[in-house]
Amino acid sequence: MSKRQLLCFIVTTIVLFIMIILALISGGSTVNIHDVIQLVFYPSEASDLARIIILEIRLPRMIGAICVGATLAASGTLIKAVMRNPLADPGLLGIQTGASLFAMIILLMYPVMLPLLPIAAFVGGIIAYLILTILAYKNGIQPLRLVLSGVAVNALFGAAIGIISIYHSDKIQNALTWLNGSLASISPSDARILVIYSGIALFLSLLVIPKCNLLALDDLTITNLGENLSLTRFIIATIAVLLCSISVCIVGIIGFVGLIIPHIARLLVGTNHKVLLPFSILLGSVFVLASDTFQLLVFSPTEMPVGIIISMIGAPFFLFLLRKQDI
Amino acid sequence: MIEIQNLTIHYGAKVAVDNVSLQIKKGTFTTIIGPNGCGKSTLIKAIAGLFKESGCHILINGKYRNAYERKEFSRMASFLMQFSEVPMGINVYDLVSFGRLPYLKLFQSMRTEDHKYVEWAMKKTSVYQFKDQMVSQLSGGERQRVFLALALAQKTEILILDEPTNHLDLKYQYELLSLIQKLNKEEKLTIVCVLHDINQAIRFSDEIYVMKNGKIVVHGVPDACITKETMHQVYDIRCSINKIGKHHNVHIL
Repeated sequence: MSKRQLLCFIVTTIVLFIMIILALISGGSTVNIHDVIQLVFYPSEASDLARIIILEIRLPRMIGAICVGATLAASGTLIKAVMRNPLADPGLLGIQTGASLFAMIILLMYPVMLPLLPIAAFVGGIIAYLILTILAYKNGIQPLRLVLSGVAVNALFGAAIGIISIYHSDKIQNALTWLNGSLASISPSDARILVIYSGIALFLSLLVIPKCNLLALDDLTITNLGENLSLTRFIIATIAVLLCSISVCIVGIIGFVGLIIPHIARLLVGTNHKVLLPFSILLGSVFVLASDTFQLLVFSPTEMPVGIIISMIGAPFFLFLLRKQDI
Repeated sequence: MIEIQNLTIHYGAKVAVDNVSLQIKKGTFTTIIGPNGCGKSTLIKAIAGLFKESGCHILINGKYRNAYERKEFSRMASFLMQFSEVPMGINVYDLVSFGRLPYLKLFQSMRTEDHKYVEWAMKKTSVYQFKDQMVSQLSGGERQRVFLALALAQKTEILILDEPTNHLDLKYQYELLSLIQKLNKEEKLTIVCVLHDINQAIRFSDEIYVMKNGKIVVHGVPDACITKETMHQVYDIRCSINKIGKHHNVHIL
């Protein structure tokens, strides 16, 4: 690892720790840094109020933000490797919309099947990905066709979400905050599920690092090396879909993280996935946690879903990328 | 030894390779030439195994192409096709190291002998001094040598090349072909190559196959099969053939 890469890791880790502390001490109530210190070092003296607010509200929320950022950034990094395209992103390509459609079907129509939510979201994401590749793949993947296919997939699943929402408008209020990507309602048990699923999916993503590097070569060279190109692509894409479905289940659609973070990470640490993927994961966690804390500090007492904040930062960045890419 | 038996390949209704049979002996430098669209690239891609359905017409060392496992074939033959994409953000050493992939199991990392072959391949192609540089920063000729090093690191006995000199300056074209010839002589590599330039084909090959409309018109040692008549018949040009140095040379009139 070069000095520059090491520096990037150290600085980002320090920022992450600062953000973790900030996230624990900021919020609508009067619980402050003093209470946090007291809870950590003298747990017996902490008040019940502080204990509940910190352990059951702020801690799960903080963990949720980190997991969501990490999985979305990892998902974006993998999907960019598969598509060989900096514009590829699970949100833009409609994979998240596919996952949320299936999640919504469970939430609104079959609430008894709630434990199956992650699986349903994953299946939805895979279906969206398959439709996307069929639409976008023609003599390789051209950037413009890829983005336009994403628009089509997004519109298709968005329309289906619209139809379901209208038929189940009585239950829509909950689904709406969820759809906008809010971290507000994460319970300790949600956080636990997120940590377990994210951990597994992130571990899987680390296993395919060498294959991600391989995909930087052209198709014929990869075939020459005796690799099964379609299978490799499909495995990596499946892990990418899994990663983004996890966060969709718990916090709904948070767009642009998978687009921006891997891109910035690439500018900072280069294209070798051995460094790029772990760094993207770290940077993604910092970004989502920082955005959520920023939202708490600025808009409080109004609760602004973090997805909206991130879209406000992400959309201009995406347009800037489009402009720079000359597609 | 590569043997092709009655190979026919269609692109839709168009016949690209029309009932071709040929034999390429071990350790020879064989070149396929012909005008654009004659099927030479298709033929060489078929030998490389890029058309699955034609695998039962191609025998490599006595075994049908489609009977080979992917990695098994990658240890037997490597191919270098015309490049359009330059891999970004990868250095020369890492790129050449990919050549060892056919020898490694899933998740297995490079062994000492793998590093040895990678260094050997880089030294053979004189790219060792660039080993820490990014491939994208090299010139066209250097880049092509790096890809040749990758193919060499595979330690195959057959090397298949589709117009390897494309887009290179004249100096680098001869440099690359001389290097390939050297590998053919020193490492006993069987070379199967598509070339555009007839005089380069005459100069470097042991045997030439001349194709037109998907068929092999003539084949044999260069001096015998490149004649005024063949050139007129295949390329529709009038030429004279003169001996310059050791080799014949085609001059268009």
